[in-house]
Amino acid sequence: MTLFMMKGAAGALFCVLLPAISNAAIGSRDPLLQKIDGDRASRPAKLPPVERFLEKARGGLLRTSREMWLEFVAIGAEETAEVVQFLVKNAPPPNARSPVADQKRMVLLTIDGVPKAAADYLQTEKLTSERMLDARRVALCILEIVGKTAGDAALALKIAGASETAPPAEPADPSLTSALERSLQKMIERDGGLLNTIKIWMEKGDPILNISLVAAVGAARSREGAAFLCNYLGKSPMLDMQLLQHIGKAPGILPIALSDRDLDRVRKYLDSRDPGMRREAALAVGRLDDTASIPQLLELMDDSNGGVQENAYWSTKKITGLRFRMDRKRWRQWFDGEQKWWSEAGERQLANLTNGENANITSAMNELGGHWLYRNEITEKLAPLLSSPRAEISNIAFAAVVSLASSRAVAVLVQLLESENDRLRAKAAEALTVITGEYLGDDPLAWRLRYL
Amino acid sequence: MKSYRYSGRSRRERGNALVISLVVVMLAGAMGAAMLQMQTGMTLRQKQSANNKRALYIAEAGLSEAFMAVAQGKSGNVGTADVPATFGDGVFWVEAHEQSDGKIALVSNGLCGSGRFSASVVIQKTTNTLASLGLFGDQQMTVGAGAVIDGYDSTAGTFESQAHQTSAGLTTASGASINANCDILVQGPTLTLGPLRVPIATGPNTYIYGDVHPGKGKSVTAQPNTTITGSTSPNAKTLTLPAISVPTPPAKGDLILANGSTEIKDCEATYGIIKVRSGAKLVIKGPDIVVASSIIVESGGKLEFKSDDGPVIVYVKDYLNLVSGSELINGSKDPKNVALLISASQTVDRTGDGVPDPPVTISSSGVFYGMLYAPSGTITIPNNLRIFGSAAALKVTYTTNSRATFDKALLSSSNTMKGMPSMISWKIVELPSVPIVQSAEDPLTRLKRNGVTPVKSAAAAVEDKINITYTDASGAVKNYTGDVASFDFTLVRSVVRKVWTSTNSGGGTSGSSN
Repeated sequence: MTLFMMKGAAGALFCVLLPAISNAAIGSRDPLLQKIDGDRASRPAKLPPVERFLEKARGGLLRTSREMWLEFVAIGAEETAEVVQFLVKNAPPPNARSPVADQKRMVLLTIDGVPKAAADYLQTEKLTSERMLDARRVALCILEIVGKTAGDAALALKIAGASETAPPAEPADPSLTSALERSLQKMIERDGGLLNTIKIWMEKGDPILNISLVAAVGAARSREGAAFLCNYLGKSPMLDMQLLQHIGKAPGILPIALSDRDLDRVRKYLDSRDPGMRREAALAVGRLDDTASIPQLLELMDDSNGGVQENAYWSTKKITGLRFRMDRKRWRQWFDGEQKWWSEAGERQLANLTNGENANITSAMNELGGHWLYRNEITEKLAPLLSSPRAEISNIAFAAVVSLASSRAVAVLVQLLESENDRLRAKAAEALTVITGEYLGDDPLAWRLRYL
Repeated sequence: MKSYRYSGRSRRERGNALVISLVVVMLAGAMGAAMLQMQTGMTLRQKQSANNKRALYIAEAGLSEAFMAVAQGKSGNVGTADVPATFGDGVFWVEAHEQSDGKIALVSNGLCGSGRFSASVVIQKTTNTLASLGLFGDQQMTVGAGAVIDGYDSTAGTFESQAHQTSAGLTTASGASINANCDILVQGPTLTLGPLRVPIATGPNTYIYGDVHPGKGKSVTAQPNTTITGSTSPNAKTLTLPAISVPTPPAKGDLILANGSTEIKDCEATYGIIKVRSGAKLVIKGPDIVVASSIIVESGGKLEFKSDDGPVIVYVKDYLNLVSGSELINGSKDPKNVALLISASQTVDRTGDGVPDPPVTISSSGVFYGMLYAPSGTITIPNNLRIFGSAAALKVTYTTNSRATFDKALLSSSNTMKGMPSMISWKIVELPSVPIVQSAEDPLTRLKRNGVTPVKSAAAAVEDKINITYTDASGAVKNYTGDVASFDFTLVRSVVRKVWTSTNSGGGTSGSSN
């Protein structure tokens, strides 16, 4: 009897001491854990989701991705979003070394594996349709948040089928109405190579899924995405309208540069019989800064549909940089004048840039800098003069390039950021800031990642 | 006697010095006269130039005077060619010519000494800053599936007289104006795969009969089975939500209505909490300005605006909750006469249930004719609340199958919200062919000789009589009709309505309240 009582006392003592030992090992000063180790007396009877999750994690109940997944299914999509967001936001810095930091990393690694556990679960478990829908919502919610740091598009598409909206992880692009779209958008922003996977799914031909995929690619606002979307023009009228709305959406003020072949595909819709298509095509060519579409835009300023007229007018103003009223004759007059100038003087002035004396080069640059319609061609010719050994030529070239604000200047200017010449680096950084509207300093890598 | 003879000189040469002197003097005199003439001419030209400059400034002063007259609701006519207004050393008069689309051309003729100058401006009569936003969302604008949004002009008649049957129901099929500073989402009905893998809509389509302008650099996403008939180009600049300036009329405490119908009218008052319980009805009858910290209309309660006799403006400072099951009623169908201005912005627990409550909740059914404005709040328009007028807020959502109609008459006139006129263009114009202009005489001298006394510029507007309805310091509504000069404007706390008339014309110039 005495032995029995002694064993019982020892077991009770062990149970009491174990949490204290664990706390001491993990470190109770961690602000995360202070939420639990702190004032227990003042806590309400039902713990908030984050604290409940952390307690279970500390208690060793959520060691594997599958266990974590089942916990998330149990608590539902809303609480899952709260927990996963909290954990991602409080991720330890890469160089942090402590038992607490290690534990946090372990939790996040485990969450990384949850989408796969979710996919396996959804494929193997026989659930009611309602339970299946709930589970899908939770999985997409996790993908949407975790997709910023990891994730698998194929998993996202396998989980697809949840047409219900899951609670958004954070204020999302309003054009994305489903968790699948938001998940994919985050993944595409992180990894443009994902488009190959999306291509496979688009070619399966599910028209409803394709609309979601187009929305996700469009919302990612990438150059590769814009070119990708152009490939699908002409396949179905419903999809065309969605594609035209998303093509050309750029991440900043600089337009996305597409190939002539892709631009041709978009221009075709300026002549569409559907006024809605004409309207959206007119806007798309404006966003894409397509100077070759100006003659058609001038025609559309007299379109029978008021919306088409206004969109054509907006695009014309955007491409040309001019602010005339919506008067087709006035615009036509200007356009004809520009074409005449280009054929008579433009080519000659471009030639002067390379062949002429200082005075001729200066005069040529001053004249060329004022003709926005041909800014892309002029910028390409001006690019070599930016690094001219003659300072006055270089300065005027920079001024002209900034004035023309062509997206074709970005690559050259980023290259100049790697120059050994301080003046050139400073001028290039300043020019990039003015042209793009963004400040990324003089770090060429930052500019490359953003724009090239 | 000796005789003297000039040796070597003939008698003919005597007196040459005098002639030469005379010639020199004449030349000097002529040169002096010429110089005097030149100097006089220069002085006259300088004087003329100075007078022309003064005439320019006087003409500009005339334009300012006319501009202010238009802002007050007058015609813009100031003085006449026969009896001009006096200003400084000169006179002016301004002629106003009404143009289309609420524009007015003001031609001002200034005279000073011999100087003459005529200038003209074209102004937009009044701009309603709030209504010019249309249906506006600053940070979010979502149009739900099946929603129908169009527009009409309340000055041209009722909505029903301008609408016709379409595939979307009774609509005008034009006139919508949706604006935002953000992206705009227009949702379509849910799609399912039908036979042959063709998508089929499971609900009604969405229709926007007009323009949808997202923010600068933003875009519109219109899902399948949506129709937008107007432009979708982005706004050229970010639109600003003007702040609400809440007045401070006399305080009257809380107003809790448990049953029956209660009418408040003919006064300006500040309330704490206005609560309309189930079975009760609150009628706010214009002209009236109501300021409340909170307005809560519970399920089964009713809130009615009656604006036939004057505008109704309601300010809500902290909390507006039109609970689901409550009802909004508008007696008169004129959006220009009702404004619900909500400056509430804080999301806090107001009911004690531990759940934070948003500052604005509109879940009532019924019809609302007026301007709805919540620059710091989120408005979700339910599908059983019909909106005519304008609605602008921080975030706006039109729920599935909701219905809204923008009133473009609010752009140029409103009895609740007034803006200053805005100048469109300025130019120099030809001088008029009237005697006082053609004569180079100083106009003041000419008028004095003709027995005409010019009027001081501040009193020179042609409208000399007024019919004004106003609230005095105690909040009571009063009315005056008679000469402008005899009315004591210091009695006026706020103007409900005013109409200016001219003794000569015998007609009325439609005024406006502010």
